[in-house]
Amino acid sequence: MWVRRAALSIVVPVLLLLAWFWVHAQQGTQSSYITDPREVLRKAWLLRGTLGENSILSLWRLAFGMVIGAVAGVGTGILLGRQKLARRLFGPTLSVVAAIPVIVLIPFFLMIFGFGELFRIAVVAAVVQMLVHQAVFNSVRFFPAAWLELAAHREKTGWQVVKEMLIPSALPEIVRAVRLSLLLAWLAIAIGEKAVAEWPNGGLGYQIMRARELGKYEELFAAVLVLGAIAWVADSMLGWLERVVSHWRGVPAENL
Amino acid sequence: MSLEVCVRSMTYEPVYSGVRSPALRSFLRLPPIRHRSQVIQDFELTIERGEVVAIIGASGAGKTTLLRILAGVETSYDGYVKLDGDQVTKPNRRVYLMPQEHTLLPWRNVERNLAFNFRNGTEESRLATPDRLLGMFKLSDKRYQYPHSLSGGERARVALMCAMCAMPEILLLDEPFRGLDQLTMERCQDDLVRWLGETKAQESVVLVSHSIADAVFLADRVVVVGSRPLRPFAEFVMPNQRIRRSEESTSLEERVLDALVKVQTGNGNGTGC
Repeated sequence: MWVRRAALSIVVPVLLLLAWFWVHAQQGTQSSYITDPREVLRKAWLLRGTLGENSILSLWRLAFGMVIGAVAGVGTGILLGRQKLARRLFGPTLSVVAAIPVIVLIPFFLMIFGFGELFRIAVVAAVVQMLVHQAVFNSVRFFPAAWLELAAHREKTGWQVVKEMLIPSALPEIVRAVRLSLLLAWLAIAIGEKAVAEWPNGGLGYQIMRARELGKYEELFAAVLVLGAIAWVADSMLGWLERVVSHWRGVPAENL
Repeated sequence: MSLEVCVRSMTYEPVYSGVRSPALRSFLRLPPIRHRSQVIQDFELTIERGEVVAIIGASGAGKTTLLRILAGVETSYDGYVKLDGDQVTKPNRRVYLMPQEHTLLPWRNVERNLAFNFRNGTEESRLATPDRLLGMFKLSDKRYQYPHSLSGGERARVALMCAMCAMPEILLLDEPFRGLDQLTMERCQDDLVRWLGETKAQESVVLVSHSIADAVFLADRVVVVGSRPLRPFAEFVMPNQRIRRSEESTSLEERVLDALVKVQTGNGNGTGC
């Protein structure tokens, strides 16, 4: 019943939109505290070209950054989870770096990756890597000893243990971490695109920041609406993926 | 081929995790740290090719620790384990330990669990392909099921099939039929007997159990052991007819039970049979 599901999920946004119309109507014509929703929709239609291009740009960066971050997180998580020496060497540094907000790290990232595409991708990748690393690290650290003993009996190599046991068993956690990191990744992409300002190749995040600074509130809200829609679709897709890769845990059907 | 075990002594070393202070531990309602204690003392056993040996003892006697020593998982003990004269110092393919908590991998379906354990490449391995075992034990319809959706009995049977797939020379079973109802248990036992017939007594089995009926039914030899420290108390040679609830097996069960009671209450010295 996906029709019913889609219908239900659209109820609250529609109510919010109606509330917006109503509040705007209440404040009278001369005041402009609240932007005219009709104006926003018109702007969204007018700017559909830029909005679309910028969305695709941002999505491309986001996807690239998230894939790189997830792969890096899985790698470091397994390495630090399995190797005591690596854990002792890098663990403390990593937890300190993870505690620092990304926005503080921007200057360092700019120094390392330069003012370009690489930098924006790196910011997203860093955020995703931290969350995925945590998830994989915990999953590997507390991997049941009995399974490792079984692997030893079967004379599996280290790589086989990683490929056949550690990664498949952590897959639900990995996808969950990626899904969670999506929230932070949107922030990261906006920060990254703002730090390396470029027009018209700025991306959706930059468009929002720029519209805010120039006081173009209609454009701001239009871009936010697009971003919201993309975020919702991305989150739904990752949610679906999470259910698919967690099926072996036996989640009851009514919770799906 | 034979497996020789000699454990002169094995001591349990306490593991500290986090909180050491006894006062703080009791304040946090943590269990007290167990003291250093001897788990196994002067245990010797030789298992011949194709033999089924059952080790019977009370719960917590240290039987699982003994099996872990045999498997090469536990190495901090005084003594040796020799397989054909080679010392076993780490887990390897020749010995397979099936632990109490069955180690089915939950992210793999039945067939892929078997494949994980399958030992390919040898001449005999044709006997133990996942396909053949699934057909032989009538579990083909469960092929694509995941462990979480299997019943307890099916899980036990699949775990047993995993052990068969591995084609070890020594199969170590730690309470393989625990928590199963009578009929399922007998079915599992029949599976095992059938498999041992199939491999023409190439595999030796060490079965640890506190069920006397299991031991009498399956074993060629039953070793009754005393608790903490685990030490041999009595040994029985079984006629091994693999018949259930016969008069003979009942009387054998009673004799094993007598020995078990004696070793628990501390009466008398061990007597062989």
